[in-house]
Amino acid sequence: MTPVAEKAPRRVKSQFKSLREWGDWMNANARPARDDDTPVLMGQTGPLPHRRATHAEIVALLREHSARSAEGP
Amino acid sequence: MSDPNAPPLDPEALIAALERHKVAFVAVGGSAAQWQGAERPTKDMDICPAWDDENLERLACALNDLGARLKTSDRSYEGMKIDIDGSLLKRMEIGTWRTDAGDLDVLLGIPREDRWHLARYDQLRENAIALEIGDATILVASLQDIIRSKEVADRPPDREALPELRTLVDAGPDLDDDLYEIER
Repeated sequence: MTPVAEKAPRRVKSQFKSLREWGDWMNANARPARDDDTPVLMGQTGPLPHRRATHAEIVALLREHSARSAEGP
Repeated sequence: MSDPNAPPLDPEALIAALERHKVAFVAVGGSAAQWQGAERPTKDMDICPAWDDENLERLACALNDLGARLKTSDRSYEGMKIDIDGSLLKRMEIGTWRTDAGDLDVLLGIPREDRWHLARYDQLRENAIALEIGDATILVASLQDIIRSKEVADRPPDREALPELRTLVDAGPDLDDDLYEIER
């Protein structure tokens, strides 16, 4: 069976001349940080907005991860 | 800067790290909209990576290179050094990372059909554009997919963003255009 070639994405040229130019513009116009700029743990898919992880949940996740990493594969 | 703790965004360094590790991703969110003409402020870059084990391991290497720390509501915790790997990335639908080159959010997907279903890398790639920005070419979610995600999410900031995005789509190119240049 002959594989079907993937459609090449349409090419668009950004109005910014470089990533640096965009970065300068973005940093000069950055929006304020919001309270929801924190992780959403897997399994929270459901009515939006997703529930953001609490600090305690993140600490528990990282501790579990660190313990697992220390045990090795 | 609006967040005194956030390092300035250095998109060249972020993209260079992702490319160095050959991470497959589609850029989404406010930065993807800005690259297509939107002027609404954002403060980070958002990406949807391919969610297979190998790609997430490559992304983990890029994040480790960038000195990434997980953002939490308790800023004092952000300095904790963690060894990021693919299995940790897989535990988060949205990972919010503070790197030496600015904030980078890693998303499993963005809302598509309804509030329960996400468009992930493979679906976003179908409609994505190859955005040329200077020497870089970045796969970026289409404005239509970004609009759809905001319609479904329907939070106040999403509703605020929609009029500008719809105007950009209305003023956009014919799909047959070989190379469309966005004007400022």
